[in-house]
Amino acid sequence: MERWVKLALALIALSLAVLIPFASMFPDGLERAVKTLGVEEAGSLLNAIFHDYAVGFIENSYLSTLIAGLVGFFAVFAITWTIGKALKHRKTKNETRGNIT
Amino acid sequence: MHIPDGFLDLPLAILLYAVSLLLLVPAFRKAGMAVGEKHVPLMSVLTAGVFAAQMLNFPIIFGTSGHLVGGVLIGVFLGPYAAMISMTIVLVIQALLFGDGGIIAMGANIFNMAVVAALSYYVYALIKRGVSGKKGMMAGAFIAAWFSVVLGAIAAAIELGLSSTFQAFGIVAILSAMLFWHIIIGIGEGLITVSVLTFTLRSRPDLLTLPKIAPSWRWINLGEMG
Repeated sequence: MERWVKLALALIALSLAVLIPFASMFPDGLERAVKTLGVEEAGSLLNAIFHDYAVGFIENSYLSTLIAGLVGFFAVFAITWTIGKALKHRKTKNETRGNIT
Repeated sequence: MHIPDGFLDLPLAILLYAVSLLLLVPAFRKAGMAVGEKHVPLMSVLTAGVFAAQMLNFPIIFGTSGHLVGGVLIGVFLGPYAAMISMTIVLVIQALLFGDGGIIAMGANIFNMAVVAALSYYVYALIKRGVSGKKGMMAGAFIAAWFSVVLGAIAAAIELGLSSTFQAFGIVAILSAMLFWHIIIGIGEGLITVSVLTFTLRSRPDLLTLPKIAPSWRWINLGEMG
C-alpha cells in the first residue's frame, strides 16, 4: 500500500476520533421534516449489529461510537479495495484478450 | 437523508431497487473497462472517507443537522460511475451494519444519493467547461454538491409523498419541509466538498487528474474530460 494511502487513512481515523464529540445529535433534514409532519418512525426491520453507530456492550458512548465508526470505516475501505481490484482484474483480462484476437 | 423502513410503499420501494440496480449495471461494466492501478487506492480512501464524514453531522439551524453525502466529491475525483459505485457501497454497509437507512428502502436511498450524485456530476462538468482553471473546478464542485443534496431531497420527498404513510399531508407539505432543510444542508455539502478539493490541490494535485470513470455517450461527452 502506498504511503499516502496509509497517511490518508490515519488522518481520517484521527479526524473521526477528534470530531465525534462535536458531531450534532440533532435530527437530520429528513428526520426533522418527517417529525414536523408528525409521522413516527417505525422500528427497523433488521437488528443491525452496530445500530445507531454504537457497539452494544460498550458503556462509554464516545468509545462505542468511535469503535463502531472505525470498524465501518475500515470495512468500507476493504470492500471498496476488493471490488476495485476485481474490476481492475476484469480490465486486465479484457485487454489481454483484445491483444490476442 | 437516509429513508428508514416503514415509510415507503412496497411497490415503489421495489421499483426504485429495480431502477437503481439497472443503472448500476453500466456503471460496473464501464468501471470494469476503465479502473486502473491508481483508481483502486483512491476510490477506497474516498469511499471510506465519505462513510466517516457521514457520521459527523453538522448543526444547521433550529435544532436540525445535516451531514455530507459525498457523491459529487467522489465524482470530481473519479467520475460519475465511480461515484455511483462508491456511494452504493457506503449505503449498503450503513443499512446492513448500522441500521442507517432501511433495507426495503435501500433501493430508494441508492437512487437518492448514488444515482442523483452521478447526475449532479454533470452540473460540475458543465460549469467546469464554461469556467476554466481552479475557479471553475471549485465553483462547479460547490454548486454541483449543493444541487445533489437538493435534488436528492426532492427525490426523497416525492417518494415519501407518493407513499400511503404520507398521503394525508400531500406531496407539497413534505416537499417544502424537505427543501427548506436541504437547501441549507446543501451549503455544508458544498463547503466540505470544496475544502477537500482545495486540500488535495495543495498536497496531491495528481490525484485529481486520473481518467474519469464515466459513460461514453457521444451526445453528452462531458464525463471524459479531466
